Amino acid sequence: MPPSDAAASVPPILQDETARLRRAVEELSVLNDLARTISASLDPQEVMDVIIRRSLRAVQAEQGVITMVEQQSADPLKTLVRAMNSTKEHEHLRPTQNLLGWMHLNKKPMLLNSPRTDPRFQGVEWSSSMQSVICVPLMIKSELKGVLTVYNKRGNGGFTDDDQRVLAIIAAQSAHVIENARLNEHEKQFLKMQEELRLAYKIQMDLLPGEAPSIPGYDVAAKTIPAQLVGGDYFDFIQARENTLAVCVGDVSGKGLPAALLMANTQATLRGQALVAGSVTECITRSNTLMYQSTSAEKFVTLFYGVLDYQNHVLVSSNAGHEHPYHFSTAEQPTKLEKGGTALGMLDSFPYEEEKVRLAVGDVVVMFSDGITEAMDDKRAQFGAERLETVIRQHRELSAAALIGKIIEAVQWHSGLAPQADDMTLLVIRRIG
Amino acid sequence: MGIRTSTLDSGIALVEAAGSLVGGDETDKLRQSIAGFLDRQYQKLVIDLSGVTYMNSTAIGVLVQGHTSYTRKGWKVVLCGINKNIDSIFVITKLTLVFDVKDSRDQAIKSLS
Repeated sequence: MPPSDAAASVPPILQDETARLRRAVEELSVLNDLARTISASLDPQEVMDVIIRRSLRAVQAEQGVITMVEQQSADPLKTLVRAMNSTKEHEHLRPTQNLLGWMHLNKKPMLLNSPRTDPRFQGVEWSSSMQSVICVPLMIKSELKGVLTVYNKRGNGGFTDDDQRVLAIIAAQSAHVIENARLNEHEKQFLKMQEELRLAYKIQMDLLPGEAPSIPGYDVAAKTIPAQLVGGDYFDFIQARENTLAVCVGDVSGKGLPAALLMANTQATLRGQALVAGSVTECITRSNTLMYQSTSAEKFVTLFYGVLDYQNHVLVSSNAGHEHPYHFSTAEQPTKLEKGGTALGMLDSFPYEEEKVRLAVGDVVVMFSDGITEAMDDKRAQFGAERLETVIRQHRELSAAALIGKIIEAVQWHSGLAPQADDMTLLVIRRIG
Repeated sequence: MGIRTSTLDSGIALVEAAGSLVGGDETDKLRQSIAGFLDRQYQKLVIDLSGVTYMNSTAIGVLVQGHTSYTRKGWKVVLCGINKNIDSIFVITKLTLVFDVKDSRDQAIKSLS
């Protein structure tokens, strides 16, 4: 520092003391400034920006970088986030593996004014625009969470010990703040995701019918028990034509918002086609093509679709890749309604088939989703089709709603304490008159 | 465990899947492997599922997408190794009517030669 005239008369010891105090005041004001500014924001990016800018000003450096290390990753030196602030149009410098490696090992501040001749970094190639550098660790407890690096002291000469000290103080304050900001960010993202899933779930549930329609001579009931936040069982009742009731049970691929949208698409498509198609085959064939065109091949819906003519007591159905419903009649064994084709929305066109069954008084048709048959206990044993058949056989005299209740009871008894992994859906049609 | 890819001298690409395919990393890898072979113009692909212990609808979707991409170009993909653990999903979804399925890898390779 060039001596001023006024300072010539002050004893050196006082000059030193004054200089020291002045520095201390400067440091405190930097910290105060920093604390005020960053307490106003919890956005990690903003926080790091402020820290870097204040650091550059405090030590008169050209560029600064904060490098956070990702503790969970296999490579502890991986740069997670970088913030840069350069006041010149220069090549952006960032700490090399050598610098970060040294910091990781030593966990203390490092000042490098002659990088090319420093014995600690022999043989290392430095970027041509790098003249001087200070690195300080951002520590929380004794863990290295990141590194604050500043480059190229303005003016002549390199960085001073004072500069290093100031930065170390800033770093000590900053580590916690950055960490809090990051944790806050994670939490915000998590909450946002939860909210999105909740919304998707609500959309899906709102699409499902509230109760089964009542039609003469038949007892119809349906129930779905969703597994939270996992999509996408679908069922519907469509009264498109006189004396007919279309019923369907399906399972939408994927989960979350995409599944909710796909379900809405499915319902709209089917309801539209149910009105205009001349037959079940036509309805399903067209719906398939429409859905294929509006979604990627990866998105599809398995669906059992049946149209009950309740005046003539005939059920015409087509099964598009869904679990095979049971038809219990007076015969010893139930039959399964399998005819149809592959899931909707997978292939551009498919030759779907249909089948027709007559329903006598007392006949029961049970449609279900794979959440019923694939329900697992804690030993991963599935409930299975055989058990389902047994339960239906046992309780087929009950009302449709009561039969559904018995099936669900049996599944839940089987699953025991194991959590419900998938939506469970049942739709039962019983001819009573 | 996981997904392995290889190519045969005859120019046939092979994807071997193992473990549980339920829409996580392994399913992503399966998707990427198929897409990779498609990009690199391997017109004949065998997907061996003998090591797969469980598949859900997302994994099925990946196979279907792969099948569609291949057949759209007039190229061929054959599945093999549909074991007891996973055959029910293929039966229910009737995809056995759609995919070209062979019992063993040898048969699959032979059918493409």
